[in-house]
Amino acid sequence: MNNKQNLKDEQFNRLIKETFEASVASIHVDDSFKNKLLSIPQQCKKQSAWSKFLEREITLPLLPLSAFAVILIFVSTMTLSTFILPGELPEPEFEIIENYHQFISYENTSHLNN
Amino acid sequence: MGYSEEEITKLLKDQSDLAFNAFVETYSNQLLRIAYVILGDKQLAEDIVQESFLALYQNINNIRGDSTLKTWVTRVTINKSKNVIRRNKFKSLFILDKLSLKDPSPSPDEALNLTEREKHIKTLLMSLPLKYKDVLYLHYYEEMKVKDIAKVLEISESGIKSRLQRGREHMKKLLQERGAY
Repeated sequence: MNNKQNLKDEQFNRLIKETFEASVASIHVDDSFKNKLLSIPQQCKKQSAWSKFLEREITLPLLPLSAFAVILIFVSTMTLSTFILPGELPEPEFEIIENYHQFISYENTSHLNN
Repeated sequence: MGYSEEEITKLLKDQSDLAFNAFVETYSNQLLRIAYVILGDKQLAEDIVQESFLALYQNINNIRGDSTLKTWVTRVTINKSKNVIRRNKFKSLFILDKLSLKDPSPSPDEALNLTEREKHIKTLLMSLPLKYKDVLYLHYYEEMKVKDIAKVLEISESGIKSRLQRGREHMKKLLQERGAY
């Protein structure tokens, strides 16, 4: 019974191997790809600091960037608004006439009459 | 080729082009096959193998000596291949481009070149979960020992054994469904 099971397992193991063998049978490195791989050392020759800087990939986090943009727009709007001069201001329809001087002079001269 | 693993490592650390060529000659086919088994696309597999060799060349002096160069580069290839699959899955959550992920059958271009049997096998392997595929491939095709697979995948030996067992069961089910077992 045990031997039968072992044989079955062995057959199944062989089947798995054959399945993988069949799946990669046509997969091999062709000449053009090999040349590409062999050229890696030439591609990796030392670069100058400037070219390294130019080739550097910068990743900007999306959320802080948009938050920064909103703050920047707000601050620049606030700053710009302080430079805007007021245009023509609306004038009042009625004028206040200040005639309290008369009353003050009357107050001041009343003690002289007494 | 005439170089031992230790010699190649030493020469590669000295940026020897000759050693790099020898390493490419020895391992490129093996790495391409494993990347292909995971990705199911030769073009993508080639990109991954190229990236892996590039990573090897650039990091040769930073590689710790606790694993062999072959183990290291195999691990990098497997991880990079899995990352491509995960990235595509993640993208498909946001972009409604689920066709390539949901359909494990070969692309129209491939279908022209593959025989009927190869198409069936590809569909079958692409239906196999990622976590079993690499373990089964390394064990049954590359004939690696559990201990060595554990080193490559950085998983405990008991973890590898359990994945092998579950992977076998999964494979059996898939083969039975297709009438191949």
